Amino acid sequence: MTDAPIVPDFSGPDCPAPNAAPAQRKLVIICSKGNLDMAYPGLILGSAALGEGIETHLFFTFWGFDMITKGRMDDLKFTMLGNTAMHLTQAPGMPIPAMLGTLPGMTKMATKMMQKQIADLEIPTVPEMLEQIHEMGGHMWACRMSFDMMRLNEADLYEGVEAVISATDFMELSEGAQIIFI
Amino acid sequence: MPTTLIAGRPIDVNDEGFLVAYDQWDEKLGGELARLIGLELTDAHWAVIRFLRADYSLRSETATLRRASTVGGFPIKELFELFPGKPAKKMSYISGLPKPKGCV
Amino acid sequence: MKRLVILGGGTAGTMIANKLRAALGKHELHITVVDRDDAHHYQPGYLFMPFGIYNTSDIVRSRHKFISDGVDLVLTEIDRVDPAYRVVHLADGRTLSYDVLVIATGVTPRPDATPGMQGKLWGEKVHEFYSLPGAQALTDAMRRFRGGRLVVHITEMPIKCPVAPMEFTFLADDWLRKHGIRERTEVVYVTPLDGAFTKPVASRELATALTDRQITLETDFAVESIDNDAAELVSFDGRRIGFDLLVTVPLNMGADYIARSELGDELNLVPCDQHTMVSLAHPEIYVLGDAGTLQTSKAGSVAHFAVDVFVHNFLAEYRGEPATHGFDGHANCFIESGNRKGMLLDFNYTTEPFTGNFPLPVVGPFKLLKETHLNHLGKLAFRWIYWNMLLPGRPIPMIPTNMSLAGKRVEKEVSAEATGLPSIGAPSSPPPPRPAAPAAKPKLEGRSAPARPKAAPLAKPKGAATPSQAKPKPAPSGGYVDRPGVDSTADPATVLPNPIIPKF
Repeated sequence: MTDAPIVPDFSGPDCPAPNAAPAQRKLVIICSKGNLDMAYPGLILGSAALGEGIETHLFFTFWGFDMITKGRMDDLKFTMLGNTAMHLTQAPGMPIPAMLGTLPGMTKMATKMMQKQIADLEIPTVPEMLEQIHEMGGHMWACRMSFDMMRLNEADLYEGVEAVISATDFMELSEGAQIIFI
Repeated sequence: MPTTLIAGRPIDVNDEGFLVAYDQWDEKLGGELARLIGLELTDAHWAVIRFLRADYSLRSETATLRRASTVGGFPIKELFELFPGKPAKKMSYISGLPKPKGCV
Repeated sequence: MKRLVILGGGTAGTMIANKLRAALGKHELHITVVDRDDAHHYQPGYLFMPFGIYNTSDIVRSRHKFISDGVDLVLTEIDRVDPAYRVVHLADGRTLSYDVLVIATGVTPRPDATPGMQGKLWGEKVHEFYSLPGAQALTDAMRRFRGGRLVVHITEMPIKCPVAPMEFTFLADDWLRKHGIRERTEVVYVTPLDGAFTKPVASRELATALTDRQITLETDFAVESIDNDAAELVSFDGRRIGFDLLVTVPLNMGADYIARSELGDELNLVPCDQHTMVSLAHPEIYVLGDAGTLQTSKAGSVAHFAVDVFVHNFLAEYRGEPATHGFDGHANCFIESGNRKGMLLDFNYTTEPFTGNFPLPVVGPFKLLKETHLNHLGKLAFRWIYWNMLLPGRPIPMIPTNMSLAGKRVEKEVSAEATGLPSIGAPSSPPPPRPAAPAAKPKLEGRSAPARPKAAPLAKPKGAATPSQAKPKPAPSGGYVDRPGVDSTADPATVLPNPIIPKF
């Protein structure tokens, strides 16, 4: 039986409590993959973190650029090659030889299957997720080196990306943050 | 499942303090719950709360932030302004609904 | 070091020996396989011999060749098993002690069990193809056959490969046509069952298979004896069916040592668990292949899948972990239907054969319960797979051990008359009509859910525009009615005076 209510801790930029934790939690997610299946972990975690009031930054590098490149973000693909964990949802026990992935049309089929699974669960598409993250106040950054390597220009990138930053900038940005590499 | 007194009425809650019975909530209670976490409710807040209650009675699950935005029509930015910090949790707490389960 | 003794070096026995030898070293597990001779028969091949499609060399290979080095192969008859002392007594006097025993000696045809079957017409007009000598004799008989009444008959169920008699009938019909004597031949299919097919969907799909080929069907025929003078099958209820050539499937029974060891039932089948294949009487004895009482077909595919489960569980228990896999009765059988076509059946304990595609939805490539050329090729190709992949214990891609519903048109409450459309709830069938359930949910005072604004709120803000610009209409909260809340009914004595406030 409690005598007095437990005072919650709403520490944050809008409501600093007297016994506030030292700094607001900060999360940085590095998105380095361009396959459809690997685009989602970063986006979902980012959006969930923002929903919890955590300051969230997404940093796109290498193949993650496909997620923020206007032409490609809608068209990410999924392949079974090299992915020994891919299962058919209707037949999880079926042993599928990885070699099948080299057959023409298999990537397309696997991508379609995955897109359907995503749509069935009403999970938003990659562009929609980026939009949501942007609206929720998430920060998005692009990696200078990959940007130069792939010879992209700013116009190609999604508007929500704030800037193209170098690794050093990234180090400053991620000070004190929890970093997840995907 | 503990039962506590809120605004003078016995209310069933879970260990975190969220209501577990849909029918035990009413708007007076909602106002009290908001006061307990330091929020003052305006009409904009009430629009969201009413949407959540209506949506829950249809689908038997609490709308996620995304659903509140796409189906309810409340821009996400606005939800963050109205219920700062952890909007999804605060909204469902004040509305007397369970925390949303979905990821998005 | 554990000792595993496998009685029977056929399909199941060979697979177990090879898979376990590959998984565990000789110092960990000692494996012995016992069989009466060195001749491993590809039994599905017997069916094809009378039609000249296979000959003896196609279907008989040396057992030694297919059993791993590091496995002891003992070629002798078995006298009996002594479960109390965990010893197998061999006919030549040797004994084999075991920690785990696998009975995989299958079932064999017993023509002597039916009076008159091995009378003077045996080998002349009365034949069987469930053994090599039988199939060889039948090959000669088919060559000499000039027309008349050909009767294909099953003595009693269960038999191994329950569809083989039907396949024989189809192939015979085909063969007779090719040899121009179909007009002169009456083909009769005699079964103790109440129909050619027992499961509803299969019955419906194949309803015309016999009539299309002018094959007469005689059901519920429990044979009492064979009258060798009149050349007639005689049933217990007095029916008599005359024949010019009788191809019968004699009673199938397990090996005799099982009777001597008092391990089996009246057909010498060893009662075992449906999912782990462990003997119901002795926990260290397992029954694989045709030798047990599994409530599914006695077939090579069943042996294969059951062995997969057994091997997995055996290895788990060897490592001291719980054995979690269970056999689901999965059977996957190609059936010859003549004219270079075949059918494919895929089913298990709880699922009857359905139509659809196998193994993958849509792309298949094999069609279930339909006669196709590809299925026939599949059956023939299987012989290669048997010798080169199945027996050596190599995994077969795309074929799951437990039956999967992928690709199947699942039908619920199918009536045998196949009138009207059965309700379909399959993953691969065309999308079922949207159920009316959401509409039936309690609505609030006539309000319906607001239409989902498609992407409008997510329109990309251009340049300096604020994101809230693309905001759609505010949510209709109409329909929500505030009602006074109901108090909790909990015992007032337990009510805490202060609210629990969550940490946000």
